[in-house]
Amino acid sequence: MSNIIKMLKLDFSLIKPYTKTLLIVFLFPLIVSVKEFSYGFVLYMSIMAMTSNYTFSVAEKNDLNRLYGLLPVKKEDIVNGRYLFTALTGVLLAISFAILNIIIMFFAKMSFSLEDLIVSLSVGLGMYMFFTAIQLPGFFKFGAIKGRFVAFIPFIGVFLAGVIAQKINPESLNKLDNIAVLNNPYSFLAISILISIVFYCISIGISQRILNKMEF
Amino acid sequence: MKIIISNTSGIPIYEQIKEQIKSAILSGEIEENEMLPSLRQLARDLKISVLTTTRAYTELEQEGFVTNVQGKGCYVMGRGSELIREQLLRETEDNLNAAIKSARRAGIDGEELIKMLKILMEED
Amino acid sequence: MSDAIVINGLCKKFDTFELDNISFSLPEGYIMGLIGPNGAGKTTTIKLMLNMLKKSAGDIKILGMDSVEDQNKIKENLGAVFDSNYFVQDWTVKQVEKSIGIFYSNWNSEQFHEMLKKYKLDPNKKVKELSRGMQMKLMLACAFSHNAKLLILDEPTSGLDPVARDELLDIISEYIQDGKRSVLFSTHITSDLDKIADYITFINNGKVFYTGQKDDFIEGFRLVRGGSNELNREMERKLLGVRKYSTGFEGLIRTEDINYFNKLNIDPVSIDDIIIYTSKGDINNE
Repeated sequence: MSNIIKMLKLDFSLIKPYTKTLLIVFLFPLIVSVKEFSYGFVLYMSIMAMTSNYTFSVAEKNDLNRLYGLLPVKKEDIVNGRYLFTALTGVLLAISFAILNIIIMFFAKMSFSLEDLIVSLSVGLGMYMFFTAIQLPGFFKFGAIKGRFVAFIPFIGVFLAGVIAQKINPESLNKLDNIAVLNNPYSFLAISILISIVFYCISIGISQRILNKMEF
Repeated sequence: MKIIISNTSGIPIYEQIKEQIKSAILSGEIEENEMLPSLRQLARDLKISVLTTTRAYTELEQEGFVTNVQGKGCYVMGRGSELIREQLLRETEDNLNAAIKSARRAGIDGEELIKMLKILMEED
Repeated sequence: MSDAIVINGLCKKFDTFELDNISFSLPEGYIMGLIGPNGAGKTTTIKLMLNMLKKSAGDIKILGMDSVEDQNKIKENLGAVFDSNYFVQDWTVKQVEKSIGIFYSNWNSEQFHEMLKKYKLDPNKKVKELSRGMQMKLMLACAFSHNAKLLILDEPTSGLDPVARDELLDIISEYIQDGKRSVLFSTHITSDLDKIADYITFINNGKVFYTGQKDDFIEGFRLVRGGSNELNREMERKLLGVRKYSTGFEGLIRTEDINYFNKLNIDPVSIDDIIIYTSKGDINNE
């Protein structure tokens, strides 16, 4: 078992006490998504992005730096494990959310479009990865509490971008529909995954440098 | 064999251990070829450092009271061993010299001293 | 026989404090007490050994391996006890094994459970519910379950009652019985060390004041007492630390300087005396 997987398992054991909270958090977007899947899903992924500091918070509260210093792991393993944990939870939760939706839709005898589902998945996951890619270096540098301020930046950024885009050219968002690649839901998913990976790689590099400089 | 150390006597602990083991050997309390407790076990029992017991045993070996067999332990040398006899001889001489000094101070002459010696030896 | 720890010329600069040229070694199979007043640099030294801090200069070899290059290999064979436990407070004792055991290739689960029984640790209790003494035993259980060859203790007895402290000393004595395992015991409660430490490294103000056998350490100093008028300039220079009061003085000297204090009262010292007086007498330090 590589050290990264061990760190992944360790991160899971850190947030065990929070799983109940997370399940409750699951419910609200689920209800919204029954009405309109894309809204519910995006809401869901946004909420998930806000919980990305749980591992940092638990580690800080328990002064886990001493444990990290004792265990036979390197700082790179800590960073890589944390990113893997964040990405994995995002993907797993996204898929389970989608499956739950499908089940609900099925029993409610409501129709749904697979293509819509995939596009929503791409947007939601892409957003989650984008947000966490910006947040994680902030948490590594400033900790779980101060890092929260950094955590808000991507939200504000996207919000502002949307507002500005509306003001500048209300038609601009429609122009996006014309880009062929974006029309096909599967290629959209592929692009979303690709961009996420790129963002994560850049973010990992930044976090590695931050953690390497830090001393406990 | 009993070894009891005192933290307040002012005598270094390794010295105390040495003396007690020596007396036990000389008095016959521990027999020839008997094995002493291991260095580390003794340190643990007496709650002292291993280096202290090591020093005591090393000096006992140098003085000929015990022999250290690698991998096995520390064994007591017979009372007939040369070095022990020498030690005992020296001790006897020292004690006799001390007795002579005290006698002189008390004004007891040589003949009286020898008489005292004979009486005491009979009593023993 | 190899050394468990070899530290050479270790330096670390902070803004307000500096660790300067720390050197000492611990031969395999023995206990070294790392002593010194609070803030002297003991915990910093330990953090540098664990590579939690980056050294400014010098090298550290633990179990024959470099502390930076081979840090993972070293840590597989290293156990530690700190003044407070380093686990997640909400973990149960069982969860501790699940979370930590996977990191050690030689983790022995049977041994862990044996230790739990021996120390009377309830596997279902949460870490935060354990008493201070039990938490210490949990850290020991973890250290012993992956066959650690070096045990590092940093203020392990702070907050413990005398019974628990005595238990710890016996556990350590048992740990080194095979002659292959070593202990570094950093503490400012030196009465623990007066008894079982084989070696002492005394750090004060970021510098090594003494390193060597404990017996020699204690033998190397004396406490001298006399009347206020019995102290002349020559004698004062020989005092490593002094306490003067209305009816006399009490000071620490090196045993080799006994002759300067011929007519005065001279007594052996305890480790505490040495620490106290060397912390006072900066003016008299050479």
